[in-house]
Amino acid sequence: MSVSQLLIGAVSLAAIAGLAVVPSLVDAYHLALGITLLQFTILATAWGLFSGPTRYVSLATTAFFGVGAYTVAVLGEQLPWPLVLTVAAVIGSVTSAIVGLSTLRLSGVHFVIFTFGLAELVKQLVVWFEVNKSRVLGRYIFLDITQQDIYWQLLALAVIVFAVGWLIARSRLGFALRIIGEDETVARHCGINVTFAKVALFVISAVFMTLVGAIMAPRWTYIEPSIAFNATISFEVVIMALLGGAHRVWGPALGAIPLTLLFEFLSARFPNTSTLIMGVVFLLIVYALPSGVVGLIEKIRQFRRGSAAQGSGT
Amino acid sequence: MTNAVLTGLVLGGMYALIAMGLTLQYGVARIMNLAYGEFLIGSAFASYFLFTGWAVNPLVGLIVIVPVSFVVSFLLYKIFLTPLVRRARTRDALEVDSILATFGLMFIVQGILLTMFGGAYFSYSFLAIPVTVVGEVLAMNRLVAFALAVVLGTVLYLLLTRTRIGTSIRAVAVDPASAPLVAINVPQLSALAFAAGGALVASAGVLISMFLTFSATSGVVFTMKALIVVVMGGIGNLMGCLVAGMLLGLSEALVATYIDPGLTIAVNFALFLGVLLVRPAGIFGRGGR
Amino acid sequence: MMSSSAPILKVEGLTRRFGGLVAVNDMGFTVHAGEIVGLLGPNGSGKTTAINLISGVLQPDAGRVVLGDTDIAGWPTFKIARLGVARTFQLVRVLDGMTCGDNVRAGLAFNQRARIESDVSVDGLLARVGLADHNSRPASELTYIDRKRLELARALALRPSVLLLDEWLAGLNPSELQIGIALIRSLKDEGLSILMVEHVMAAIRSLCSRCVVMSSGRRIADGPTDTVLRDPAVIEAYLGAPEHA
Repeated sequence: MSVSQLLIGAVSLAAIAGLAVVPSLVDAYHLALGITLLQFTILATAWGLFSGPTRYVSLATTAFFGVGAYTVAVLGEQLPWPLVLTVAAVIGSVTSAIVGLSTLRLSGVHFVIFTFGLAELVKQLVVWFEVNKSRVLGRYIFLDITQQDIYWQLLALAVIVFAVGWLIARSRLGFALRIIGEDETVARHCGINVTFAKVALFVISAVFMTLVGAIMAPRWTYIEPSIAFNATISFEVVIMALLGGAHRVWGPALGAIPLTLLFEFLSARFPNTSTLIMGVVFLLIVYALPSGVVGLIEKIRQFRRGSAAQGSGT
Repeated sequence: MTNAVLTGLVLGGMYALIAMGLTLQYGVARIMNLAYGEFLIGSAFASYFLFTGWAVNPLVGLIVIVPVSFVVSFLLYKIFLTPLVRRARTRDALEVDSILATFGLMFIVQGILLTMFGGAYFSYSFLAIPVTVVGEVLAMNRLVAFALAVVLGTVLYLLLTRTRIGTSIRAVAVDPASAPLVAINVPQLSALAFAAGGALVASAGVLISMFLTFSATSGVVFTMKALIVVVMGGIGNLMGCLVAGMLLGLSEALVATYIDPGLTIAVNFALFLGVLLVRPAGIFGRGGR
Repeated sequence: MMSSSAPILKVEGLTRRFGGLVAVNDMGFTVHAGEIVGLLGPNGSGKTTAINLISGVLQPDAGRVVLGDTDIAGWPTFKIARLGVARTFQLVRVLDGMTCGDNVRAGLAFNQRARIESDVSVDGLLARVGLADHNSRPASELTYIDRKRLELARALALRPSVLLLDEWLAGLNPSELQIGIALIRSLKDEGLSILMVEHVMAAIRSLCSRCVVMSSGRRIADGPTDTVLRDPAVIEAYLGAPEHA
């Protein structure tokens, strides 16, 4: 381990420790903001885990988030909390494995279309089940979980998602995904099980999204399908990850933090035009920053290196 | 049974018409337009506005709204989407870029509609006269909408198969790389196809506003269904739109009548996946080599 | 140089249709250990389709592809690759966003046989194809022939029992062609079995001990190279019937 790696490790530990004491220092409003920031940081990072290397644009975030939230609504009072989270993760992984196996063999466009409607599909199935089988629509969540608890759980999950991302990037799976991103045909001819790699990553990413939904659920005391499956989250997560740059593990977070603050500000100040402004932000990113903040940083670095090399050459 | 089939046919005709516009935009101009449904809702609102504000008959409104949409879509492609087409190195890159750009566009159109009309549902009463067809009672406005959809679809089909420009458009859909070799101006035709798609979706929006309630945020559902129909039928294929649209409309109506109206989207997706698993390029798609 | 041992690769009754077109029709041939077999035929005769059927890119409608003693017809590509069928592409494919070393590592990393053999290394494979000291060089900077070399190194990283070359020598200039022919011959001398689709006659004459000729999806000749190239049916397939020639 080199000195710089040790330094990065030490700084990260200090940052985690610093973030962990935040709830005891701030008021309820800022704690809520902190929770939202963590929520989108995890969602965007998890999105980037799958969509960054495979270049599949997934609009399914809400579907998994909602599955997590609804699992808590149904089971929250019947099982101990760690078990509820485990069940949510299992349901999320099974759902994503089914979706992945049936759609990831299709082309990228078909995948976008399918995920575009997935949240709506899952929502409709949940509504149908609640109306016809369990005969309740809308459930109350009374759990002994405070805002602080939610914050700490999300912080822990954020640490895990970064650690997992870091590990994947260094693993054989990560290498396989880089090759798939470059040329899927070559990947197959190198002996890579392309479908398995994609589905595995899709499932890992979806489990994080499901857990975020589950951890966030106690924030609402009342939950119904239209709250749990709010399509806007999928769109926001895509914008955030793209602004940051999805081809690096830490890229999406760089987009999630400023945009969460911006959206919070907009929805408080201009509640009626927030959709419109979100669209404009989206277009600015697509046209002006096609490879995100990370791409911009890398370009600047390359430019500096290039001009330095030129300087020494002449 | 007859009623479910009739409802399904009318619905299917609408889906087919909506999908034809998208298949022009996606199959020819290579723009996967996620803001497509927003344009449908936009023209539905325009028709509502004309009818309630100035008592303009929606059928007359078509004469105003459709050309305006054509011009707006044409300019949109020229100014806003051409930079993406130029920037994209591969077809895949253009697909991703156009998805993201039209995504932003979707929010902008939706945002404008929301600031103008809020989130409430709108509808107006036009030709809501009951008529009897093969022993079943249907509203006149549905029948008129269906008839017009049939006329528009037929006209489009004839334009594409019987005219010189239509043949060129089909050539671009089949092989955009070789089309310039036979002196086809691909950028110009792409803009035209995109604009024609815009005009079609506008007409569909007017027709649908005559018999369905709509809100500023209902566009997404239409985009989704149009995409499903286009992909199911085979991208760029008009007959595919017709068959897949009818299939979707009929299955929705039958499931809503006999199983549960709350499962229509599930049916859409089941059909979509079922078709793609058997024929990955769609019902009328040319199989990948 | 026919070996009497069991063939490394045996293709029998291989058939594939595209709609009404039978692209490969009841094809059969064998490749024995340490020999180079040429797969010849005019454009559109089904050579690349045959390669795609053997390597699993396409699924055959009928027929057997036996590698060693395993029938691999219809297997997914990655399994066939892991079992020891490596290939190059008609239009050269390298991973442009990666270094040369990572390109070769792509071939090594997902293959049990390659990973347990400690003598195979990235640098060794790069040197083998004439790209020594290119380990950390971006693949996008390579010249055309070096891209071909890199693609070959990636295929060799799989430790293949059969190497499929799809017009690997196409597009090289005369001096590069001599280098390329020497490189392929050295692979054969090491005992590698090769099936090559090729149009360059000089290369076919100097490398292939045996040739299989296809026309309209069918096998029209199979035998020692000199005999096959003099076969009237082969000449007709390439040049058309005598009265039209």
